[in-house]
Amino acid sequence: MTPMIALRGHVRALSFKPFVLFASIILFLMVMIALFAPWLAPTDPYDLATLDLFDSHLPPSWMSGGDARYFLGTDSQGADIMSLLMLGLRTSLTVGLLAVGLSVLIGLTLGLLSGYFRGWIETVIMRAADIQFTFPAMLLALLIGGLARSMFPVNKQESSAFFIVVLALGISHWPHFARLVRAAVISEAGKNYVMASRLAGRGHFGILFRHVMPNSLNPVFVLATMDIAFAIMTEATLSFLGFGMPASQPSLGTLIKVGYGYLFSGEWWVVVFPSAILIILLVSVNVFGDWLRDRLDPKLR
Amino acid sequence: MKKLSLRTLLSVAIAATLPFSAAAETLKYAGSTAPLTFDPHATNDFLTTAIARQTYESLVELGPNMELIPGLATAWDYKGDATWRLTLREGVEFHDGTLMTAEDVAFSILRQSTSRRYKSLFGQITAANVVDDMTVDIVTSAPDAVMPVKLSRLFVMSKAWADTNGVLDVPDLGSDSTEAYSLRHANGTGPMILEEQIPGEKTTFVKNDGWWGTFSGNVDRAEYTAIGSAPTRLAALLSGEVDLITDVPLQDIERIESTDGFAVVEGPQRLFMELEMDGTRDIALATYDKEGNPLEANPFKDVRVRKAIALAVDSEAIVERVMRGHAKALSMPSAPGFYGYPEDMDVRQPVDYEQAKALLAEAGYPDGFATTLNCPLERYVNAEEICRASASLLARIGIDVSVNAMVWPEFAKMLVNGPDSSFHLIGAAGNSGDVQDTFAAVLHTRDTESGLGQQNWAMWSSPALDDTFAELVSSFDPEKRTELYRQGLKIAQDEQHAVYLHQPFITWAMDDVVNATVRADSAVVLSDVTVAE
Repeated sequence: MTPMIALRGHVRALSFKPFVLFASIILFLMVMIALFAPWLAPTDPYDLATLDLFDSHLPPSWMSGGDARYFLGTDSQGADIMSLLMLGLRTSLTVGLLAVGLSVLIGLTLGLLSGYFRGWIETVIMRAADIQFTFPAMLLALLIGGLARSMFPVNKQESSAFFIVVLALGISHWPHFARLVRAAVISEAGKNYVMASRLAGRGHFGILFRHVMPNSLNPVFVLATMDIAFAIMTEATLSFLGFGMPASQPSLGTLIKVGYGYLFSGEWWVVVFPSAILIILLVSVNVFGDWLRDRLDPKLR
Repeated sequence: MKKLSLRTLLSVAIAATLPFSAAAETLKYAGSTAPLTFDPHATNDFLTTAIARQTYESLVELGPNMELIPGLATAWDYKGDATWRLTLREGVEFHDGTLMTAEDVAFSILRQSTSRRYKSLFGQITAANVVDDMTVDIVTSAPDAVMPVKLSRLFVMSKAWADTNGVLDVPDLGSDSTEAYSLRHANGTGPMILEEQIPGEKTTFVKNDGWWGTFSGNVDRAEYTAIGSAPTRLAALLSGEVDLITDVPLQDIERIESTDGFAVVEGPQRLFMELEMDGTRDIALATYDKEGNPLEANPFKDVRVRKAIALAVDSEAIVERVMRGHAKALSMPSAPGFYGYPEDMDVRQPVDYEQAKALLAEAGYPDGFATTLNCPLERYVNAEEICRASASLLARIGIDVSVNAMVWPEFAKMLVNGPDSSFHLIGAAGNSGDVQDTFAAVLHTRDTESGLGQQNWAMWSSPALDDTFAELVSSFDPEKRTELYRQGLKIAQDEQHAVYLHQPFITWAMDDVVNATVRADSAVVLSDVTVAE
């Protein structure tokens, strides 16, 4: 099967499941909005000089007291909620993708090494993974975030927050991938074609990267999709607790944290919109990931 | 577990058989932070003092409008020679039943004057002499005209009790590992007896039937809980878990007022918010040019830069939009409710971005610069939002401000161990509420020896103000004092020692059955609270 045919098969399969199709379209739209957020957003809330305090606390434009310039209302600083949401979505998705990318990179490398070479390399890597599994990912992310933060000077902390969060989430998730890859590699490495390749005189790294890795990637791909949702959620939690993205460069979690204070005040738009977007995003990613697993996981076919 | 539930059952059974009495009421109330300690001499934190004030009484009391009324001292007279003579109240008993004597008072005066946190307030006291059973003389190194005002912060503790429990010296609050008897136990003379203090969680008081004063309220028992998160605190009130909350989030005031069965009361707090700027360092901390290279200078030291910042930070807008009108904009380091506040001088200059930019250019920063505003979370009302609003206002004149929000303990540590900050938001007051004391604690040149300028986190130094203060301390003539108050505040205004923002209002929300009045020192005076049936 060439990749193109495979993809066409997946797309056809998608059209038979309306809910999955719907979730995929939503996800696609969100990714597009996130991608083009700086151009789509009606205002630039990161440019502090444009904010006007007298535009603060405005309700959505269709409510009485609303302002046509701010479709979804404004926050306590006079920033446009819609722009904040678009840029926040961009931040959340980018953090999620990069964090999972980092986990995959670490997990894949360590998984390949331990599954292929076995012996003490495997013991060391897998015990390390086991130890890390005993800590909740959240706790670890808090710890790594705190450590990383203390290493930056004050003025760099805000700009470095993004990388710190990616680092914290990436490091806290790698064992999942390492275990998965190791198992796949062990089963793959025992197969005859690997043996044949070895007899033909191919080196370890040739075998690893040309034969073993490509054939172990499917489950990684599925887990990564599911993990993006988890990473976005963990990032939102970190930000809600005040250890994630700063208020000057908010993710969806930061927006929820800021809006949480207005829960009782009647200014519902500050917290409801980011929460809704976060929920929709997570559900879409999960539905899509589930479907992808059904398609790609041979055991479930 | 079994034992506990049996006890609960028993107490319910007993309670059910008791006749219900209108005069026996429990007040449950909640605020944002827990008391740091119960040793009234160990901290000058105003929230802790407001709670400790229920069990420990001061020599001079504060009336509902912060006026001085007799407390444990019934009279105070200046005898000359830097000596104040106090006549003590007779027949006052500590909670353990022992009688308060002049010995206890003299002991308390000396104990508190050695406290590191009270150095600027009481550090000048050199002796406390027992004249007879009911008379004590306080001697200071120089004549001190505002001693009676200061004595409203001097709490009386039993000497015998302190001796028995090994707390003759003030325990240090600085390190977390310190544990002293007086931090969790109290033996005062006040209207309420401390029943239990679980640090960070709950404080329980019971009524002191042997109190010398008169209870105008009917609270028999009170439980104070710290609920840090504002929405949670409000939810606790609305669900009936507590009867009264202090520190109501401003955005919720309207909603509480419109909810049946709840009321909001409000009053000015004896506190002013200000953005303090580094007045000492040659190179400001965390300050950069527009390209992000460290700035080899301290722009804040230049009065033109300070003026420019003050011209751009629109305190009226912050009061109206961030504080939603629940504050009063200020132009000086003082506010209504302070002794010596000159209302006619409190005139704010209108916001002027052009003039601000011109001043910056004149000072050598035509393109502005970048700096870091350190900002405490959760202690002052809407602190983070004030900081963010200030940042966006300053962006208009080319000063890029990144807000560094910190939890209160971290922030306080940064100031106490340094201060390691060149630009920060803080609420200031001085300890006693007299402008003289604001000068002593907040504006005077820092001097570790005398304790003056102890809360001068801006590290600002003005010889003219120091001189004014020195003259004020020994001036007893009211007219002269008024003149000196004005003179000192004028120096602060002209030099723009800080950007003066506003005086926040204290807001409490309570169930309609509760009747309590807001005081400028944030204290819920339990003896005056009424809870209707």
